Amino acid sequence: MTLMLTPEARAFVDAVRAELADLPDDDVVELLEDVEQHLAEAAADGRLGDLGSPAAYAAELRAAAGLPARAGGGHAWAPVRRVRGWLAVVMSTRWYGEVRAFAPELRPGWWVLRGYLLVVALAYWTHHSLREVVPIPHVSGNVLLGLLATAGAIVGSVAWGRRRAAYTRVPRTLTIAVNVVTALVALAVLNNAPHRTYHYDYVGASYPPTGLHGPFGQVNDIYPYDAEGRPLVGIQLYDRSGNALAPQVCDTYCPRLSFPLYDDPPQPIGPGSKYGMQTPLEPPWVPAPVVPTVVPTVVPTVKATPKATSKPTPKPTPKPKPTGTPRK
Amino acid sequence: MDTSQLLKGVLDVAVLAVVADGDGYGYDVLRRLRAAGLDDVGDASVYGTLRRLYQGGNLTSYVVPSDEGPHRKYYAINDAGRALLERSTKTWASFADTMDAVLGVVRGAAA
Repeated sequence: MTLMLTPEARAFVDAVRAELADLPDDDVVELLEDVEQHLAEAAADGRLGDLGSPAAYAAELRAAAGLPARAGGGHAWAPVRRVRGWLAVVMSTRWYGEVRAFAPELRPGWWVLRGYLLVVALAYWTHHSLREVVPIPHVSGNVLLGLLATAGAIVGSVAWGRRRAAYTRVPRTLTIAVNVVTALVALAVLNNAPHRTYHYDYVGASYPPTGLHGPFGQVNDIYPYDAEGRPLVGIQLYDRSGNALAPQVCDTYCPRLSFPLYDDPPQPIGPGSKYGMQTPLEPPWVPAPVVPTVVPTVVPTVKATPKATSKPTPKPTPKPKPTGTPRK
Repeated sequence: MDTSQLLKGVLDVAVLAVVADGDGYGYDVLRRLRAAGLDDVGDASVYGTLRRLYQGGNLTSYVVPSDEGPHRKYYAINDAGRALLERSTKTWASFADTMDAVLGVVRGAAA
């Protein structure tokens, strides 16, 4: 059981704890119970100042309790001793004592959080998408099971914490291990979670405009078609500065669109078109032929040009007939 | 003469005697030892001795809830403790007699 102690008393107890660190856990826990009781009484008695240094107190306690004197005090690896020294300095400061005195009040909150995070860890282990992990962890892809598991884990975690506080018999190392694993999983999930939300956030965000702009704002996707409305594949697009436009790699995270992008094949965009670009700097831009707004009507004119160079009589007739309406 | 050195040898029997006189928690035992005149007794020594006697099976312990403060761990003597106290008291008595004799020689010589 942890008593409410004054910061000075708490710092003293912690310094004594550090001096006992080489003893078995059970001994340390029981000795510290006595030390806490003693410090509470001595503080109430106004005798904290009589107790001497924590190191001397711990040495006296060990000797009287029949425990071996501090092992390795002189033999410990020098850096270890130095770090212990720094820790002792930190633990003897007033602010550490205050934080340490306040920390136990946060424990029930941590127990609840730990239960939740354990289920998050479980869901993270088996998840298909992060939506099944946060904020509500799914179990076997099931929300209801996830909620039940979360409730159960919170109850269990709190019971565990209370049991440990009451009897101090639950192995300390096991509790620490569970806490560390839980915290690491929480970090991993929090580290991954933003990746999916960025995709949505950027769309609505008001960043200074860069890149291509159409009449409805920034151009996010480019689907190149030829003059006959056929999708162009195996091509590379360049912007006005001659930089290649990298195709977006969209394997795992791109959300499925629930609405059609275009009702009609997109209009070609070129120097002569309605939403055309200014003159590109570099030759990779192949100027599209001058096109009217309705694509299919262009076909005869486009095909007329290569006629001279290649085959003698490619008739315009085999081509899709210009119907005057855009293809679906 | 540093009485804290002397105390180390007799603290066990002193603590046993105080607890045999009435159950007590750590700080209570400490206070009673001081009140009896053992001013130099160390706080941690008393707590450590209580724990060792308890682990050695010479004391029992029970927790008493307290209204104004923390729960208190009380110690009570048991049969093994009483037997140990009896033996230790005899040892002390004979040791003290011996010391008196030794010091009596000196006192007598000085007189």
